[in-house]
Amino acid sequence: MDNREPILQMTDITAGYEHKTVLSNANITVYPDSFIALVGPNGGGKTTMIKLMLGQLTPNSGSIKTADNIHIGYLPQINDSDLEFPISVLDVVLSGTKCRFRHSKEEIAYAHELLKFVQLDELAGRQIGQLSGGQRQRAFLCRALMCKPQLLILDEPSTYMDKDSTDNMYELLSDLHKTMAIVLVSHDIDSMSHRAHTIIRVDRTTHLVSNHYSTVVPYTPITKRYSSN
Amino acid sequence: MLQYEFMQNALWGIVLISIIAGFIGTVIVVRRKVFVAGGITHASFGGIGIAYYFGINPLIGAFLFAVTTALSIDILERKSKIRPDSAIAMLWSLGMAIGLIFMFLSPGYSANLMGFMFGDILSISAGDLILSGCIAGSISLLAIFYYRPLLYVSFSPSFAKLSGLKVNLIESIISILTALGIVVAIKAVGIVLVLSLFTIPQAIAGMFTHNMKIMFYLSTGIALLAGIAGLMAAYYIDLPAGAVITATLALAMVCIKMLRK
Repeated sequence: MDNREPILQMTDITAGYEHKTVLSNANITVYPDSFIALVGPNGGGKTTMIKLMLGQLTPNSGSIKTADNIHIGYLPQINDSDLEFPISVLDVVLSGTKCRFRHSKEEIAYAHELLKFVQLDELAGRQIGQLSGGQRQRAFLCRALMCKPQLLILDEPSTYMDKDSTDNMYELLSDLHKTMAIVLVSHDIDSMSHRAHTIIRVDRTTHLVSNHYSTVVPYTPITKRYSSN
Repeated sequence: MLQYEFMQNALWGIVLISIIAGFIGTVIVVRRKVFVAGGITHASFGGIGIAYYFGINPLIGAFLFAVTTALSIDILERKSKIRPDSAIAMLWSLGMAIGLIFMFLSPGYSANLMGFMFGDILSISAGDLILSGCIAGSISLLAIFYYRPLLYVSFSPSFAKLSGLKVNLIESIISILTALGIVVAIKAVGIVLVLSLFTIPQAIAGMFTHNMKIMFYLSTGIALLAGIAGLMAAYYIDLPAGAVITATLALAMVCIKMLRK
């Protein structure tokens, strides 16, 4: 057990779409310094887990608790957006804030700062589709970071990326992890095993595959099935 | 040619419709909603037919049908189990069918039928101009003032929703203004040709800019030039303005594309 305050906790969740239940007895606890990988087969419910965390989907039963005023950054799957859309890289990043009329100078400066962090500031004026796959993911990462999140959720961030871009992305993530919790969906359990602290397999329910998250708990790879009480 | 009042009206009509087409057309094109716009356009004919039959101003019928169709498509796209494109095609042809039935039930329909199908730029009245002016004004002011939310909702509705924007509300406003804008443009260029003003200037503008705001202004300008060409052709050689506008735009697009290669 851990006595730190979780920033997000889902307990005994059943969820799905219309009459189809995708997840049952699903559990996850995210602490401010968690690095959690969600792995598992397609259709197993990884994306459903993310939708629940983001509040895009309401569970049929169970509870989801989040810390007050939590900001969640989200990097969706790469194929979600129209790459021919007339929008610049800078504007994509700025779209990560809630904006009614215009952006403040601070927001614009912060967007540039983020673009510098991912080495894209020189391309800020380019149309989004003119970037390479890896560059584009970094731009979308900046968009996710605009809200200054305490929790960053990434859905398959390295799909269609070459090895260099993937390595680059994970370097950025380990940097970011110093200041925020990360939950990441991945197909690749092997590469996750030495990057994430906690691995959860999502296959209609959640199974804790390994957890060497806390130094308080001695590291032993455990496989424990979370079952309904 | 501007000594005649109907020509002055036509010219002002072209200016206002170009503004409407420049802004609304850009939003339609970048959001890939051209087929939806086609559905709204054709469904509005149902309202025209019914209003015509009962002797009401056909524009009122067209507005009602266009707005209802636009909002129904929004709802269908969000919730329905029917494929959205099939649903649009259904509303598209159903509107046309209703319009035709009521037109045929009215005596002496044939001349007016041509007018609605292909437009009649020289029949734009002062009342039409006031209406077009109000719609052009609200569309352009909203698009400039709320440019950022409009851009973000158009680029990625799902992400905009996460960022806290009222996406459904914004999309409904876009749909209503699209419906209103299309209907006033029908008066000038007709149901069959109206989409050209809402898509070709934007396609040309898209070759020069990757900025949605610049696309608004550039496509307004392009639509205006083509509109004036259409008006001159209608006045001097008695050709239908809508057809000349469409042909001019298509020709311009091909030429620009070839010159840029």
